[in-house]
Amino acid sequence: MHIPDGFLDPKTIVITNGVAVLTLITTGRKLKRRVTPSLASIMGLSTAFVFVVNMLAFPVAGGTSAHLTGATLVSIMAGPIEGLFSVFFALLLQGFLFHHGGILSIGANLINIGFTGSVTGYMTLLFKKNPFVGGVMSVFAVLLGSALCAVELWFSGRGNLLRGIVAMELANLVPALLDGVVTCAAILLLAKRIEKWKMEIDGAQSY
Amino acid sequence: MEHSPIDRYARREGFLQKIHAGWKLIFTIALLFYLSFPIKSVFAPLIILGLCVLLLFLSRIPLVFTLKRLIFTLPFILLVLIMNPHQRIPFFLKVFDSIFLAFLFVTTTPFPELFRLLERLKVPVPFLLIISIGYRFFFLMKDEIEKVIRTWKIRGGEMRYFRMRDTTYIVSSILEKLIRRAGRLAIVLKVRGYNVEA
Repeated sequence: MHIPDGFLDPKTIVITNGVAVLTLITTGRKLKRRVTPSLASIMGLSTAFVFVVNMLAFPVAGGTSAHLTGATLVSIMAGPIEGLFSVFFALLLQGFLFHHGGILSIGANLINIGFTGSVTGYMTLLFKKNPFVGGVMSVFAVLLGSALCAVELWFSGRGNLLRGIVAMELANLVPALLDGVVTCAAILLLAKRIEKWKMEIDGAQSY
Repeated sequence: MEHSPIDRYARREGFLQKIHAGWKLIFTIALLFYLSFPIKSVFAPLIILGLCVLLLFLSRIPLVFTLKRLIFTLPFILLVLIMNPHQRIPFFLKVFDSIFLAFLFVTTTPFPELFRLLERLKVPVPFLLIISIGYRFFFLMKDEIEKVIRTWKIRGGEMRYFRMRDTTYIVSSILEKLIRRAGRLAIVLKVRGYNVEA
């Protein structure tokens, strides 16, 4: 799902990065004011988690990649805006330090992985972190992201839209199902613990 | 548990190391943007590749290190060749040049300088803190994975077949340890007087 540099044409780069920057600026103002020690460390952990699961990728149609995203899970655990930023930070580190994804294609990658994960994470929160809903939403996020990836490539003049979508969906089906299982299990095992832990640290008196 | 710092050649006496990170970033982005335009001939990408190789030697970055860092992108680039029957070579060069440019920028810029650059670009301090925590956690995560797998193997676990129960045990113990670490980190931040406004 990571689109490397050199794949997208200038118009797609400008549009996707424009959308990403506008969203990050508007949501970033809200997030900046509410970063507590526990949120900073949980977001750091989420960034590393997204970083690791995204690195376990294999090449698929057109030269992009298929992998777990973990974006829905981090959006459920840390919050939708926090999840979006965790994915963004992970993409920044990947693009610059490990050349996975790209620098100019970061906006497109954020739309494919971060936006979809954030929206589906928010929808799961509406269902009070139901593990089953979380799992289904996670599968949906990966499949939606891969479809968006095919649309962006088509918009850049790379191949056929329908064939691209079918190829991307087929390649990402197994990672999407795995992502769903991981999200479902993690909500069952960790959600309550993280909440309790955040309360303990942020609610504690200063030392 | 060996870590190979990405910026280990960033403090050498080389050409790119002497240039300010901001200028390098502008140069990299400008060339990447140029490469995003449709290119039909191999001429321009070849010139950029030549420039990259020249900068590599002027910056005294070992060729073996460069090949090791660029080699894991090869499966993706090879797939690009297969999937794009028309203009294979120009497209291959375009993608390879893009990766090479990003590699040169990162390898010749020390990590703290990248952070100073982000600070100058008005990225809020809490976000920089989260990025640096995320970067460190990546290596901690790698260490934890190695430790857990080693412990599990010592206890007689086998990696030959994929088993849901074993995988769940490994993944849950890694997450458990990392959450504990994140907890300790949050307490350290609080003790040191972390303030959002600072």
